[in-house]
Amino acid sequence: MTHYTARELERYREEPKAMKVGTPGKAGYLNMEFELDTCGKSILRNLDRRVPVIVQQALYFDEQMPEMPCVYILSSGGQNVDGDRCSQFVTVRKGAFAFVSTGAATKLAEMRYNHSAMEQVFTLEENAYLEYLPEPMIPCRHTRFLSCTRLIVHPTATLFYSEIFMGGRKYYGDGELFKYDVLSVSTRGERPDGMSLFYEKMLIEPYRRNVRGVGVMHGFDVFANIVIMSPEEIAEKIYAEITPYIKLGETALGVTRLPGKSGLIVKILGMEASPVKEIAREICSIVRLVVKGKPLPEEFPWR
Amino acid sequence: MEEQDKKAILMNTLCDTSVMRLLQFTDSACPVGAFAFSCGLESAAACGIVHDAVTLGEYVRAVAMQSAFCDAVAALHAHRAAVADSYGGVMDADRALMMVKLNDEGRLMLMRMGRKLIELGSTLIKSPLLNAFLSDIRSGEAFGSYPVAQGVMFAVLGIKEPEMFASHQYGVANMVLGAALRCVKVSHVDTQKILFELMGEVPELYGEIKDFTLDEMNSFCPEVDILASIHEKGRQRMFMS
Repeated sequence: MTHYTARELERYREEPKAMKVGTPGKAGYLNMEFELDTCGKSILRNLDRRVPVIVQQALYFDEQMPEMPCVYILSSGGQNVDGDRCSQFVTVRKGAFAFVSTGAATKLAEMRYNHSAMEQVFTLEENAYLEYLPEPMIPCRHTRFLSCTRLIVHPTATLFYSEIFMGGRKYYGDGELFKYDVLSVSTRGERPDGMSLFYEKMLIEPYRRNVRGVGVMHGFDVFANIVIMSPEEIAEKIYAEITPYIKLGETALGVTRLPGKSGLIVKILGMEASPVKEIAREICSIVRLVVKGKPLPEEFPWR
Repeated sequence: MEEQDKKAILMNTLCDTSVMRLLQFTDSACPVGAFAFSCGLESAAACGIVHDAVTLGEYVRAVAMQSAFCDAVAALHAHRAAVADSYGGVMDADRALMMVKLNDEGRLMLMRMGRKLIELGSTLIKSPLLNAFLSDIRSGEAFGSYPVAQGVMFAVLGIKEPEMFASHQYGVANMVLGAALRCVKVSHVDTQKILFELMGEVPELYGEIKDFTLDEMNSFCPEVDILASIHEKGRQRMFMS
């Protein structure tokens, strides 16, 4: 387990008073490996986890793709608290496919001494396909959160990777938007041979720099980042299907091509989580339609 | 101080060619094509996001900050590499910057302007470093991004790092403000006020980013990114970005 560090979190390294960093229950770990079985069925072959991470049994509930394993990642600890560290590794072997999400929004609690960090590695082998569509993250007052993600994708594979960040607990008390200390989110795209394709680091420190200005969040409260890594011809078909727009006070959508012809990046802004989630699902549906010839099913009414 | 000494100091200051070079290559008349780009402002104006001096000021600030925390970091690394005669360092900065420029039109802009600057530089100055960089740009070995080109050029001209950073920030803000005069209802006085205010923050910004590694380049301007995307897929073409 490697934990990344960052200059912006240097000042948040004091040991939490309740439980120290690394205490069992505060250092989550997850390793999931999907592969095709001898009958050609995509299955969750290997699973290794440490508390507080819980993984539900792989279910085949997707009506459009009943052959696809769907897995929800949960946490027995509830929200991410001061000093939590989590590492998760998801591998999709040659030709396999999967849908991975989280059971509910991830709340990033108020922090006083330390910070919370998550490292992720998604590895997709030849012709693999993965939809990673987790529920939103909600940073609270004084949250300090570091996320470092590596996307290692074979040139023939397709990955849909999304993240949704709320501005905060919008309806808590008088409203708590952009009251967190640090949100540092980085994503690196690579090939299996180690070749770097692109790198994005979003560093948001609302108390240091205004995020409400024109060009940044402006009047929007929620943002989503979607990385679609796929072969160029597939990416071009997806690109053609997405029309960027901006409607102040409602939602906004943008798409552009990633460097190295490695895929696309989509940005979404909104006022509430629901419409942003809906747009993210629509984009995922376009990807699935282009790659697998089937759309996403309708979302469950309780999600 | 003797009158003769005073005159000598004055002459030395005036004859410090690096200042003259700084002015020449920071001037908006420098033929690198900056006038053709708006950094998403054209879409911002068309969508009604930027419509007056206040909204323009906020937009330019967002673009300038994005540039300071990203492009300028690569420029500083390229400058240091060029001063240390490390061509590998220049190439590293060039590659790293193009990996973090996730907007297609943004990459095109940096590559076109960078190439123009290096072509101009190798015409005006005899420098093996500039010639090598130009040769690699032409062969496709190097992207030749504009901030890295600035770093190399300014190092060759003997312009110091903080001055280069100031020139870079001025160039970015001036490019968007120049575009604003053509697509937003603002006056020259409005744009000068914005420029004056933003440039006052440059020393503090330099202090903040000067020690950044290439991995620390960062950006968070989702609305600018979306506006750039609207331009990329749209039909408005007064500007190329």
